Amino acid sequence: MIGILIVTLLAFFLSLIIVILDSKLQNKKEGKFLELLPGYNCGACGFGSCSGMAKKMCEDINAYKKCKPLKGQNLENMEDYISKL
Amino acid sequence: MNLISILMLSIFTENIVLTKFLGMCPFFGTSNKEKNALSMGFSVMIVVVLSSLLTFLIYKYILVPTNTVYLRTIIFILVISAIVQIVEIVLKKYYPIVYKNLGLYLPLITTNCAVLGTVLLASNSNYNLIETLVFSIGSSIGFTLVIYVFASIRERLEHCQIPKNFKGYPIALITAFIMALIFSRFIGV
Repeated sequence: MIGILIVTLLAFFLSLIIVILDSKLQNKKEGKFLELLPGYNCGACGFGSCSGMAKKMCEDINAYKKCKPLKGQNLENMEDYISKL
Repeated sequence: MNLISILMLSIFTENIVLTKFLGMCPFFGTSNKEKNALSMGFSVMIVVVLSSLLTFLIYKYILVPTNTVYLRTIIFILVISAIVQIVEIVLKKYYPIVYKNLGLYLPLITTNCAVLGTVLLASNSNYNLIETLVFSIGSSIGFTLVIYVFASIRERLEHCQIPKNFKGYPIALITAFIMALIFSRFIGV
């Protein structure tokens, strides 16, 4: 019984540390870009997936123009966010 | 004096790779180039030192008082994998160049039995905190040393004239055998 408790608590604390560290050190801009991208993961931009595109956008902000499914309202939202940066 | 003997013991006499035969997978897998070997050795060093400290504290202050020493292996694996994750996150944020160079090798350490072996051996030998630290530094230096020497021998062997059938892994296995013979002579020095 106490063994189960120890393993569970230890795993919980370790995962807590990882989650907190990850959320603190994560690139906030990258997360926002990923949110604004359409999320089809089509790979038409050439970066493999939307998360690859978000990573690329941190280096080169104009990379979003390569996104084919980003149209209409979504495109306006993205340009809106980028102009505020 | 005792600390120096532990250091020498863990680097040479009881070398983790060549006398205990732990960590054979990275020993053969990442020793094709000197640079790869050094990257692997360096990342193993970070993880071994951190995890042996943490597991020592957990073993002494949680497992022994609650009489749950039988949980040792699973908890040590848990701690090692968590530390690998943490090191990866921190390196990615603060040292992206190092992270890019180590790249693939960092997650591989989770399954490196040299790390688990060092941690288990340290807790088997009833070392105290400083002795555990010295032992872990020594065995990771031993790992790095052996893997680096092995990689440089393999790089030289690529330009040597050897029988066609021995090229690649067969000659690497023979090299490892001769190195293990040499290291076995350290016993009793």
